[in-house]
Amino acid sequence: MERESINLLLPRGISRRKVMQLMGVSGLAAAMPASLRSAMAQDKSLSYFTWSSWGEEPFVVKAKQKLSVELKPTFYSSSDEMMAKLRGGGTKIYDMIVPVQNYIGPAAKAGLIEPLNPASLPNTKDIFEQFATSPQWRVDGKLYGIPFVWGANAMAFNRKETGELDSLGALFDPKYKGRIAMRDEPEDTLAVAALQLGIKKPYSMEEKELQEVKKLLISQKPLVRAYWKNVADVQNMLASGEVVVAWAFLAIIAPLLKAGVDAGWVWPKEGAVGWSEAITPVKGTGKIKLVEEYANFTLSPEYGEFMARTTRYAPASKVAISRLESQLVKDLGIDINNVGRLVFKDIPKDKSRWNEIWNEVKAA
Amino acid sequence: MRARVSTYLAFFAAPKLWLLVFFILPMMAMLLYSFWRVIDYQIVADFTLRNYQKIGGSLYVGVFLSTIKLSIYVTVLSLLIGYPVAYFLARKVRRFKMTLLLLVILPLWTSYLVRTYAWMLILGTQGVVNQALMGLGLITQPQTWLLYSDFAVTIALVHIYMPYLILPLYAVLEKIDPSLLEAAWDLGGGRIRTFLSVILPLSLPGIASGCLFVFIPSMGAFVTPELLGGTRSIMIGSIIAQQFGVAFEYPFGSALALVLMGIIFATAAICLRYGKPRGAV
Repeated sequence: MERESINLLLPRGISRRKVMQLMGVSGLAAAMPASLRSAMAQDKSLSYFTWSSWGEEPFVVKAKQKLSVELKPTFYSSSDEMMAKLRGGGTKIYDMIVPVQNYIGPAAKAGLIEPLNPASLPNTKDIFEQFATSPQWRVDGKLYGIPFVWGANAMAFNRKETGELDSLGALFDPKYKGRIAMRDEPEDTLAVAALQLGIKKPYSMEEKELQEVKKLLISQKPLVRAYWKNVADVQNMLASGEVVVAWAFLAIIAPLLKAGVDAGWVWPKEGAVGWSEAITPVKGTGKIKLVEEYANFTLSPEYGEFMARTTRYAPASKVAISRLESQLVKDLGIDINNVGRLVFKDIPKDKSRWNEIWNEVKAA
Repeated sequence: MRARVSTYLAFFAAPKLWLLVFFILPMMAMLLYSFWRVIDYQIVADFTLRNYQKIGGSLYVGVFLSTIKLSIYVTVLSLLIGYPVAYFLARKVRRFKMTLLLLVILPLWTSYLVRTYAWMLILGTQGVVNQALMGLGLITQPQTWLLYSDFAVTIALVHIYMPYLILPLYAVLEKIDPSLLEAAWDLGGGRIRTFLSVILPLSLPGIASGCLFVFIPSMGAFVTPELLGGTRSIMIGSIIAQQFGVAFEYPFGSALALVLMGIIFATAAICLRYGKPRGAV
């Protein structure tokens, strides 16, 4: 079989070490010379299961230069995909992942991830307090990651049509009837409705509050043009003028501006849904020290600044942010003075009830 | 004797093995899952009827009913449009028959997703239909009900699945013996009478299988309603997909999928029972 065809058969970014491991399981490695095997075991490579943003070429080059670590990225495009692939045998292939905070609990309970030693992450000292000490990254007292990047799902609008907006009220305003888009996902949308109702802790809502949220979302339905599933769809809706205000991701703003849409982005005063991501070791990685070294590197001012400039995502490092010019900080879509507005996405108290409420809203 | 055993294995055991591995085992797994439940993001293998009780509630019964309703619309529309096309191809066209048949199949060469997205461009407020109607002065405001509505979902599904109806119908219509039609004419049957009492009954098997080929995938559709549907177009396929995705409720998803399959099997049984040719000699 030719080399190319072998590569085609492997998941993208799978390391030779892992191939050897898999071969070892099948007894093939026994046939290899001992010297070759030990050389491969000592390699400084990390099988990196991540969002495409953190595994692009510049990051691979950077890791090689700074730490002589060879990143072997494989990409996922949703947290569910990440979980499903880890459950389906991914723990045998990958060394580290980049989860969002609300998946830490489930992944730890399902035995898919491993904790980090806090002492191995000295760069934590530069990280914003709320991320460095966030209970969402800890399960049973063990640390599963210190976020290196953060942001919020918030409100996007067409400034030409709506003017400046700063309240969630716009998503419920009859003035924009038929020109509003909401996300087809309970853990975002129910939280948005809760914030609009003034509920401070959406993710611990009781049944009575859930019913109020449901009522509000049903009353909003005649105003909503569509519920979007993929972020590209809401971008298209704003670009084509189907909608003028939407609950969305920051990632759509730059392409919209490029397309000539006067797109605005705001964390509404009632609140926005925050997210953070960190390097987390995969259960059974034999390279925990190397993973910790890389995790610590992602917390450094150097990585933070580099990341902000290449991806336009906000670093969690205070020092990194202080190194950026004010216009760039503005483009990162974060609002440092209003971090208090963020409600970080969490596992709802009764997840299946949330799904059901959302289905009831859609079926109403 | 030995040769006969191996022949038997090759011809009968192999397909049975295939059925077992790719059909029966997955179905059994799904059946098992449907009685389990999820606790703390772990699937727990105990026995509960909770999933089925949940489906019996008004929410999911309602979604099933609206899915059936929409699938019936899609099937009936496909039949009304597809039957004349199949008839024309089978009995009227002499030249370019293959070319025309190819044109019917041609859309199937394009990705399902691309065909769905194409309808956004056609039906959107800035879309071809609205622009044309406004250009002709027939409307002054773009019609927003065209896109993100049950209408859009129905049109797109008809477009996507109609070839599957035309092909079996074409095959059946083409096989009708012309002498039967001549006999009908000789006996004084007019065009309509001939169609209603000869052609239509003889083409029933084609209608039945063609309709099934449209109805079944429509019942399971979830990409098209998610992309083109409005705030009210929720179909059972989306809910099942949700259970295997964000919701992480494999057991409930399995139960929903089994109920859906039950409905489809029942429909298929009815269609095949009543889809036998009648009035044939």
